[in-house]
Amino acid sequence: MRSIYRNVVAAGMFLVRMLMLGLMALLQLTVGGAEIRPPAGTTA
Amino acid sequence: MAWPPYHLMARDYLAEAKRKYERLERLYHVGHKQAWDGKQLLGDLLKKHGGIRLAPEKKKALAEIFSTILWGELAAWSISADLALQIEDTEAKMAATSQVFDEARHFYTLRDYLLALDVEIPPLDGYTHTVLVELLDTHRLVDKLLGMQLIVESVAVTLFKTVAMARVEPVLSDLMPYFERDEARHVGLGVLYLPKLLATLGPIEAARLKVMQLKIVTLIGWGTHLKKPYFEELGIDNNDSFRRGMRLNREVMDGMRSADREEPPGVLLGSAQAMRLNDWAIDLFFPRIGAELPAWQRAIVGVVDGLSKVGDRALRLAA
Repeated sequence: MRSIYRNVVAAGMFLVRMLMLGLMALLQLTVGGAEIRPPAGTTA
Repeated sequence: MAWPPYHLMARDYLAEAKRKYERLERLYHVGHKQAWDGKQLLGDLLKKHGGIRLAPEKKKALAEIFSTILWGELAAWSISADLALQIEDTEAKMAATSQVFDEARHFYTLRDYLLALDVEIPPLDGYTHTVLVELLDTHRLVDKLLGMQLIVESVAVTLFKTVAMARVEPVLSDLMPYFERDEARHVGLGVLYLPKLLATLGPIEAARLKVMQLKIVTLIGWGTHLKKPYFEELGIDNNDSFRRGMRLNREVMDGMRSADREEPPGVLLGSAQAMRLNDWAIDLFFPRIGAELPAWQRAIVGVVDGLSKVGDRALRLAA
């Protein structure tokens, strides 16, 4: 039961995170202003 | 399975195993050579730096972050013992056995350090608790190897490096490179042995593994939001830490690719699209300390920080 509960909460947290990321990406593409640095593999 | 496994003494098997797993056996011998005495090292460092001198709020922040590490080391100890028991190939079994000794040393050294810090140790947060309990409870060898050796150990390597570089407290900064060197070997066990296990995966099992990784990465992300005030108190920039983690992850993935540069099945973090998405997520969710944020980003990150407390409480209910 605990495992099912944890999975439901984790799925919810994943969904919320993706929604927030989508919203922020949309705002960055339209309004802009956030600092997006070069890919992690290319910086020192 | 018949016991004893007589094939372990067959000369053709031995020749093949030596060819395939020589580097795994080397991890055991290197671990043996590089073993350090935690009691002596910590004692020497405390003497060298005149004990631990830190403001109470910094002590509290260190305790918040290192309680996670302490229980993570205990889980890694049990999980590496599970690996040593379950793995059949001698060379990988030797590497896992060496890791059991390392994790025991890490646990008692960190326990003694936190006792010397003389501050109340908070209970484990809901996110880390969920990740560790699921890896402890699973009977699947591949889940333990992928979840603990590649994801959790990689996070540990990154965190140890970050804390050492931040020079938060000299005893801890001098201690961290010893931990980091050991953890790098533990990641090596996953990198060298996982491709063999992953190669036999069917599509359903590969998809299940990807969901598991997604879950772990999601929980680590939320957990970092929860601990953000403590990272900031110690002057640790999560943007830099995550970027360092991404670079390490790319190196790990490169180590797991086949001779024709193909990624093993069931691994989530290796695709170019996932890496790009991660880069954006890091910069949007964890802006650099001191960076000037647009109002919309400040507002959303504030909401996310608040939600991390809600998720923590929800997961603690199942602890």
